[in-house]
Amino acid sequence: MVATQEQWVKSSTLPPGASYGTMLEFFGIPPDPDDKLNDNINRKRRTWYAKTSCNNKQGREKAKEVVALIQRAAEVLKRGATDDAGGGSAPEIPDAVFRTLEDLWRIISEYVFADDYEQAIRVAREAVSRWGMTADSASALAWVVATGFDTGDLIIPALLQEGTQAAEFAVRAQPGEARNWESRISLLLAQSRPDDAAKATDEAAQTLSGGPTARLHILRMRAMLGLNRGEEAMVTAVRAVQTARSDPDLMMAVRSQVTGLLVDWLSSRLLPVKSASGLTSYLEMVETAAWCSQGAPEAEDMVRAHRMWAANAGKRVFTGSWKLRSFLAVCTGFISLPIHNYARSSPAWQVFLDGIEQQNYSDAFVIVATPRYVQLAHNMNLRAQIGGM
Amino acid sequence: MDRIFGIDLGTTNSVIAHTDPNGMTEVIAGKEGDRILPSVVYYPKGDGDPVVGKRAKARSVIEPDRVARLFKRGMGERTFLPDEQPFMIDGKVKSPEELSALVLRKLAQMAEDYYGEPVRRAVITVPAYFGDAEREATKIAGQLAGLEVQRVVNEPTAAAFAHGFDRPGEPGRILVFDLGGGTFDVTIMDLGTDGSMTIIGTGGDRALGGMDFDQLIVDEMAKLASQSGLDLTADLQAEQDAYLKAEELKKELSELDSSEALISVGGKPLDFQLSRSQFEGLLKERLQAVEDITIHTMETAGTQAAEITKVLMTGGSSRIPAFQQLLARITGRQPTFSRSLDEDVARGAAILATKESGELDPRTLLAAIPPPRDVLSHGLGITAINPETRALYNSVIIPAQTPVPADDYEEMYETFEEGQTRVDVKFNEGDDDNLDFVTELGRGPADFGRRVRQGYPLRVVISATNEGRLTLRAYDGETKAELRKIEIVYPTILSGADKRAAEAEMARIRRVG
Repeated sequence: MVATQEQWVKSSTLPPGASYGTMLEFFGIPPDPDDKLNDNINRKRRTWYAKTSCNNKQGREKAKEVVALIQRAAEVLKRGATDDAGGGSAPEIPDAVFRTLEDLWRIISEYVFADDYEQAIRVAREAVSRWGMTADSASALAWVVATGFDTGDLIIPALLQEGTQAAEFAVRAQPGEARNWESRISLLLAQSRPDDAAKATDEAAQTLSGGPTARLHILRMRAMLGLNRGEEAMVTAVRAVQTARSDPDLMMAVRSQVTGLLVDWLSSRLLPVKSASGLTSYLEMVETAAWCSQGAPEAEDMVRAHRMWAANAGKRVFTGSWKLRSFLAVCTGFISLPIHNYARSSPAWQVFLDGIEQQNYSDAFVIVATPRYVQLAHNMNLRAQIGGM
Repeated sequence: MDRIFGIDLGTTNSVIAHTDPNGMTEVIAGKEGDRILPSVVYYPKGDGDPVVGKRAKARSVIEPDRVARLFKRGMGERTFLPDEQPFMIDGKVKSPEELSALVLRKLAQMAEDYYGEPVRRAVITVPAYFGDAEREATKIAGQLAGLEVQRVVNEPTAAAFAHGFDRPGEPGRILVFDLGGGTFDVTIMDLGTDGSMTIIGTGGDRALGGMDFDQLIVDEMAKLASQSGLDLTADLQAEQDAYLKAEELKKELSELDSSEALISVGGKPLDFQLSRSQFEGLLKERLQAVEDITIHTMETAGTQAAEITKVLMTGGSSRIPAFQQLLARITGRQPTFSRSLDEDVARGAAILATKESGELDPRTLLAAIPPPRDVLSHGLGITAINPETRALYNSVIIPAQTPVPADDYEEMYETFEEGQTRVDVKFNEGDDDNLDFVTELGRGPADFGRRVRQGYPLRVVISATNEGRLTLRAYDGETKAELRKIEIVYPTILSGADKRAAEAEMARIRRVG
């Protein structure tokens, strides 16, 4: 009796580091056409699963290993992911196989969302190696690196260089693709080059037919904040939110992001308020941040303490002697009271700035100088503090 | 003449039934009123007799080391434990056959108490994919229990018999889906107009069943415990209790959308909740396995879904709606359920037992239905060389599902090399052409007594009898002389001194508790 079943159904091993083509051959592609992949995976799995109940104990164990291998290989071909729970003595298989650009983006996106940048970069590099430095492969590599630096998951300078080169190539090759601009500008910001980033956003705005994306606005905003141009940052923040208006999910994300950027900046740059003009800048930025945060609960939380402080920071607090004030009021038939009140009071921000050391403090003084929300508003790590409350 | 009983010796539960000469079948309950006996054995400390059933199952929480369960999975092998270690009580190894014998003895006691007469004869059911070694081990378990095992019958055949005997003359092709506590079995059979049943394909998984689903739930319980910094697996009693709770939860989820149980780990109570959809999520891989086996069995039987006229579900785990939906999707038919999912295999076995014993009233409807024929559960063949690839492979001479007795199935082979004086004949059981997946039953040289040319003919003949006796004969293709005879008498794990010791042990037991 000679075997009639196709050889690929019987094959039970994949060499370590098997190529994409080898993996397809494991499932009979070729000789079968590409669209038979799913059918062949099912057929092979079923055939081997049936062997797991054969009447040879060692055979059953071997069949179980092959079924596990088939499942892992199929998973890789279908989804580009691995099942780390696997193991056993089955040969390892490459876990990042892609055939089309769509596959590539799906795979690297999955890795990035799983915070597995090592794998995402490896797959993107494989695309560069397989397809050469094309617009597509460069775009993918630049995106992975830019996202990694944006989130703080990547810090290696050499990677920054590699990603920047890829981003510049991608922008040159596909200037009409917003994602390439976003990656490039993001990487410029990661290199602490807000000047160049600002110029690049201007360039992108002129090049992109649909105008800047919400993300490009956010990147520009970051550049403006980096250049200490708060006014322009606020304007750009509002534009970012307006650009995202057509997509509710995106808008929520944008609201959250721009609010976070504004709050971080005003916490570190505008507090404590040291002058009347400083107070004006602070109030303006808090107002803008409050507007940007509307509807995004976590963003509203970020700005809440600042709104409370902004509502009180400009109000005057009596800091003089209560006894003297009463005495003078009685002596002058209460005519001195408003004059004395004004003369011996300060704006709340000034009271807070002067601190608790002031001798004749009052209840109002304590209220504006010591509550936790005011402390929080002044803390540069505000969100972390709130999170820890 | 003594009554003859039908016994479903299940992985997790066992049942005994009897059919009277008028065709009325009765499932026999124990003194506690339970008709289903958990296949669990507990060995009390000291000199006490072993305990089988619910009390033993309950004991697993307190003394898990002295409780044996799932031993059917190791039938015909040295052990049933996943770690390959033998199950030992007080320094003595307890084989799956001995443990099964205790369950059989307990079932026999239930019937003796009920009828007030000794139980001596029985027909016992086994999964369709059981090989001959496992079937032989089942017979030995019966012998140890003091039973004369009249026949070993496939579980799906018994289930189909129990379900279909009131509708004789309805032909068709039926798919029997038997998902029990520890094993999964799918069988496709043709039903003749005379009520005869011919199996055309079987498949299954000997380690897939309700117990595995319980395990999935227990794993989730362990995760819940670990969130509270507790280790369920470190607390043996808590773990055993979790298994009992998991089984209850699983049953409830066949009826309810969600259920909950209170488990106690390290003295801390934990409220465990599980919805049906979550449970189905846990079952994902098992559902895939069941789908694979079912479709593969249909493919190997050469059956399209449209050709299946009836789908019969049996086994307690068939209650799980996800499996019902899966089967409906595969076959395009709404499954029929056996009347009593847990009892129909025993009922079918009882019907067959009475019918085969010749005690049935010839006027009954049942008497007119021909009994199912025994078939080979696995193919039989020899090891041969593929002349093109020079690779060894299993050459099947009698395919699986061939009715027995199967007399003189033969195949012609040729010598591979010039000047060969003999051929080593290896007798295999299994249908796969890959030798890794078959069992070698025996071997021996077929000596020509001279040098023969390349391509010299060798005739190999294999026969299988009703009693399970397998014979291979190799003949000189030209002189017709018999060169080798290999006769297989199943070498069971429990043989010789071990068997005598087991018999002595069984004799010592006054009454199974």
